[in-house]
Amino acid sequence: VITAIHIAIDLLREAVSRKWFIAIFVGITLILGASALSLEMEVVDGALAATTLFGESLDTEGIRPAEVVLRPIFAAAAYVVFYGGLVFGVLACADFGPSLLAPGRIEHLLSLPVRRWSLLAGTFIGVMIVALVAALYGAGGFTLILAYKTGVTSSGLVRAALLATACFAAVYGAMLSAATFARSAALSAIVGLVVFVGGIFSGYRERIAPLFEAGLGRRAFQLVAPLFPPISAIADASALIARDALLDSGDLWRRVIGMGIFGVAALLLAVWRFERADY
Amino acid sequence: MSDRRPSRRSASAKRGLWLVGAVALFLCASWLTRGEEPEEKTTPISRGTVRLPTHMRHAERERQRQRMKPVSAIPAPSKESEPIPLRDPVMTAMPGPGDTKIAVVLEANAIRNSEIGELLLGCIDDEAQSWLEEAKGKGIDVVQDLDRVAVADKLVILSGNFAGAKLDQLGGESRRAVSYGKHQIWEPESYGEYLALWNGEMILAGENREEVEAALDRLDGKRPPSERPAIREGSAYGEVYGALSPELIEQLMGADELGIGKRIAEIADEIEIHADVTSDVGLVVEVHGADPKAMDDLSRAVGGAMAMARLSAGQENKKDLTELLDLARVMPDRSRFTVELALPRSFIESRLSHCKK
Repeated sequence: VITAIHIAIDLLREAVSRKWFIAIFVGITLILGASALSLEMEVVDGALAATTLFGESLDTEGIRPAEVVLRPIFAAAAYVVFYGGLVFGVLACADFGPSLLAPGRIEHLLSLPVRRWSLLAGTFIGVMIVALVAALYGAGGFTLILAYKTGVTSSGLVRAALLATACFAAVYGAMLSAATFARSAALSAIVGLVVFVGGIFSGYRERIAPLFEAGLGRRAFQLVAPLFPPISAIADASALIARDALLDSGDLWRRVIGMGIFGVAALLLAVWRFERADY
Repeated sequence: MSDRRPSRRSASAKRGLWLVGAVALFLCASWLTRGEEPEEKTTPISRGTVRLPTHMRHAERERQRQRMKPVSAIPAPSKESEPIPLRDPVMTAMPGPGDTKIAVVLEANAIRNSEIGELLLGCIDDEAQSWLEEAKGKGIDVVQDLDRVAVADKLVILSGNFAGAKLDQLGGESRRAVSYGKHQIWEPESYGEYLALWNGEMILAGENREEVEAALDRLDGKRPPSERPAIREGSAYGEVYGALSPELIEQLMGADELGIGKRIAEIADEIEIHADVTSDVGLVVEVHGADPKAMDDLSRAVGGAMAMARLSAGQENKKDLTELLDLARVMPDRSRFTVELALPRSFIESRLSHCKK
């Protein structure tokens, strides 16, 4: 396990040294900065009286308590943080697995006294830390901006970011697994996006299934959809949390733990494949 | 060679364990992530379906039209060909806006026949039931015959079908009849209200005789009607509607920390209230003033006060009040603003649930 953690730290060093990765963080900072400068909210004693974004007036439905008016904004921001964070994670981290297994490098790593599973576990942990930091940076930054503008502080966005990270564990597990079958960043990203989109369908499968004609198509959908982690269900939960709604926490924890276990299962599949491979 | 075979087998079995573990965990993950989409634990009350009475609807305009009749307060037309102007007797009997702090009308019959009315009827206790029975014995079936209740300070007007009403013994008080023009006023022998019956369709009740006489005079045309009624004809919408004087609001609010009541008394000219209780309860308070800038400032102050009230309700864990203030809003509109409150039926049902027991 300690070896895996060392590998994770190495991966973080690599992430920091990558200019493209830094550019993404700069990009998030610019978006947060633009939001901070363009979002003007007139708050009187805790009531939101007017809002302008990029000079355009937004309808606030009269003067209402800022916390109440901001609920949909927090919910929408939670969706952006959640889905945006996942897509960013898929694209930004697609290359980590294939580069670990790249010819030359993998032979060098395997010559070291390191267990194969530690290499993959370390990569998985490192990527998860990167994803967590990026998600918390975006969500925390937006929370601070809204708190400064309106005086309303809410941990909802940060909690949404944490839930997104749990979902990313499932997505990245599948991506890493794909990398052990073919050392391709493109394939890794495609698998990540397939799990992402499949996860959205899976979360809404009860609603989507009736849209299929009864018969083989619907039956196939009902069989395939549950194979994907229900990402949209967690996204909806994060939006509800962001708008201060009460949720069945036991139900949510069950799903989040399930997401984590999906990620670990995919990691085990990757380890199984990696142990069999000859380099 | 024979030593290496078991070792290879063992390594292969070990690798197989990763696969078995992966499959087992996939199944476990699939089981844990099963089920429907997450939903809120409690369905939040929503203003989406609550009708807020912001204007007169066609049905209300028709209701008002049907109530119009020739009232003797209206001067006869100069030419026979001119149509006789019609007025609502209840509005005619009410004093003018300058003479009242409060003028409110309850559409009792509409409320009685609404979903909320059904709920309220379930809340009638034994004491109220016996009072209703007694009134029925005096020829006043409040549940069936009462149409409207109007309150103007110390004058109360009941409209409906009271042709057989015996006012002399109403409310357990004995009264003696005193003639007043073509009418009779029932005076209480010890204490109680002064009562008069107008045209078998309106009971006028006053704390003192002068109020009842003044109302009869307005109906008979002996006193000039007010320049405009306490409640404008175009404002008779909703199941509860009326006008409050800004000074009354100041009195009701007392010494509030933000001085909102005082500012309302200084800035506002007129305050109208309208409530729709057909299914849910939607309440609109309309505040009018002359100075648009001052009214805009006042609307923000009221919005801020409501936000602060919501905050303190949340801090004091008053969930009901917090939810209701969640749905409240202030809508500024130049020289007026409206305060809107919504009480969904589910909320009222939960509060009146004890009545069913």
